[in-house]
Amino acid sequence: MKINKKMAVFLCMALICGFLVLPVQAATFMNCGDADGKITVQSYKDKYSAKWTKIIDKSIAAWNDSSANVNISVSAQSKNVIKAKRYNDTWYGLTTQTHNKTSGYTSKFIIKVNTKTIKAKATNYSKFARSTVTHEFGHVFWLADNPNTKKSSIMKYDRDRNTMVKPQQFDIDNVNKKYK
Amino acid sequence: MKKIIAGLLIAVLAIAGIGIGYKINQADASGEEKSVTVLQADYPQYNTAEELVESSDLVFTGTVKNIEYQMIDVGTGEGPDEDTGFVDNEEIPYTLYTIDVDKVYKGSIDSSSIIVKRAGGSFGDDEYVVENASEISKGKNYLFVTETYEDTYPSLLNADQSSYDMDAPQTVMEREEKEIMLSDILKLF
Repeated sequence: MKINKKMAVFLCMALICGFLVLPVQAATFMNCGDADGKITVQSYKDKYSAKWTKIIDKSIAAWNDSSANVNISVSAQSKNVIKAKRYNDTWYGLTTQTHNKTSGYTSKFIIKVNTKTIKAKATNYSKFARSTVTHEFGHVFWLADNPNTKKSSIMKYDRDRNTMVKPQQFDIDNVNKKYK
Repeated sequence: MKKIIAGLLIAVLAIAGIGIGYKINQADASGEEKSVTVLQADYPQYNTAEELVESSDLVFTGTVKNIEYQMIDVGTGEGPDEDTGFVDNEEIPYTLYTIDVDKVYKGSIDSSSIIVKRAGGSFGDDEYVVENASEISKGKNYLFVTETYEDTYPSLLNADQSSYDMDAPQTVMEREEKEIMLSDILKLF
């Protein structure tokens, strides 16, 4: 009987701890993202320099060519936009997502890329920019900023943006948890 | 003992109830599904206080007198961007902090108060929340690490390493990996 009491107390405490731990585990994921991982972005080739068109092309390919169960396609009718220019602020990239409050599914996103901060910090401008764009797409696939892990991740603030241009295995695994 | 177990079970059910209640509150009372907008910012991360201060051109302490929200076009110049060719004049949601300046450690401030900005804010139903952002409260005294611009308000260098509560300096015991403390910054001046 004594063991049963102890077990009951232990089970109750475990359940309480379980509820309390949930928000910490959520740090890897945002509370919004695309429903099925098949997203479109508005046509951009006629809006950008050849250099930047290539940067965006390669960032899209980084996700499409990965083993993540996602696809990014280009459409003239898409509401989702990539905006890259010089902004007077300290961020490299900024993504806004409008999503359904209940389901969390994103209905529209805008990715902004700050070439001013990238130019100031990059030793490899093109790769740094690609790292930023690829990171921002990660948000649309539910990935949160700066996950608490020792594993390599495109979502980490302290990644080497001059070299890391593709989603890492940690990112792909997490995206695939959302899109089985 | 039965009372203890019953009490624990009630506590578990109460916590579960709070969780369910939170979910219910997410839905609109009218039954309509509401949309919200969130914001994610990819900021530079600094490994040391030296690196942080070196990247800033304005470091100061002061008391937050007002907090307001404003949509601001922070794009540089009119017409196609010199780097990308892209044209954009869209405004971005910002929180503006009006600060009564106490002491300037790096750079200069012409008046006794200054406004600094950080991406995010509250605009009607839309909450633009930058995750992991440090808390900045009205009436409290902070050390700010910022970057200035010719034609808009200075920005905090990032979301979580650019404001330090002057009245609640952390002890060494609380230091996390790569965490920059207020005392690390003050030691540099």
